[in-house]
Amino acid sequence: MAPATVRVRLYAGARAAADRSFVDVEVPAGGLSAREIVRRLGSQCPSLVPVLRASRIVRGDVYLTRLSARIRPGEELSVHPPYGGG
Amino acid sequence: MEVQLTTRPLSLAAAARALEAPGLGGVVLFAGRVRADRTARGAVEAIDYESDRALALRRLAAIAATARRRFGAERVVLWHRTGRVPADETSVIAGAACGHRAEAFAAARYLIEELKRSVPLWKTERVRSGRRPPRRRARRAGRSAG
Repeated sequence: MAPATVRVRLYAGARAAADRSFVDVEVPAGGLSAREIVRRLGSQCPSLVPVLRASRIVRGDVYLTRLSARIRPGEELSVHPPYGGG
Repeated sequence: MEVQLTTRPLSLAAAARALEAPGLGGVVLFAGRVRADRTARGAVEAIDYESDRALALRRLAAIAATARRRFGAERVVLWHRTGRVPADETSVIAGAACGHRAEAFAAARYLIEELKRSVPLWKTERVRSGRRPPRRRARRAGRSAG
């Protein structure tokens, strides 16, 4: 059976730093806090760490203001570096 | 359409038409265009814009709604182009039509500033060689539009 994962989508500078558009982070069946997923993401892709410090984490279409939220297998997170529209 | 993200060129004339309505005495229309800034590696020939589309559209709609409520804007346009936008073409339009000029200026200012602050859009400059500038320069040059 394939391991349970949370897919983390990477935009702009995050994608450039990791050289890919998403990373699948393995999680236990009960899920993990968003904070722990972000930590594991940084371990998997050390080049992402500086970008993660300046980025917002989005769950679906909601900004996570507290990274204590539990994220279940199959859910998605996004890494949003500082915005630059206009 | 009040808000949009599109890969097609943006039309100022269409935006002006969308702001027309009887009795509105103040109409302000802001357009941000891609500047052909010079960098050490050559002139900027385009900017690539990407978005988190679903969330960006929700944010644009929320900003437009706030402009209506806070400034009494009767008509609002908040349009952004995505994909590759060549130098000298319009990347963003923010406009408001109100009863008087003071509210119209304030509403248009709010629309563009809030878009830049809170809508998930990102830009990457492309210089004439067709390559992206180094990341450090790209950050600094992130002010080349709008």
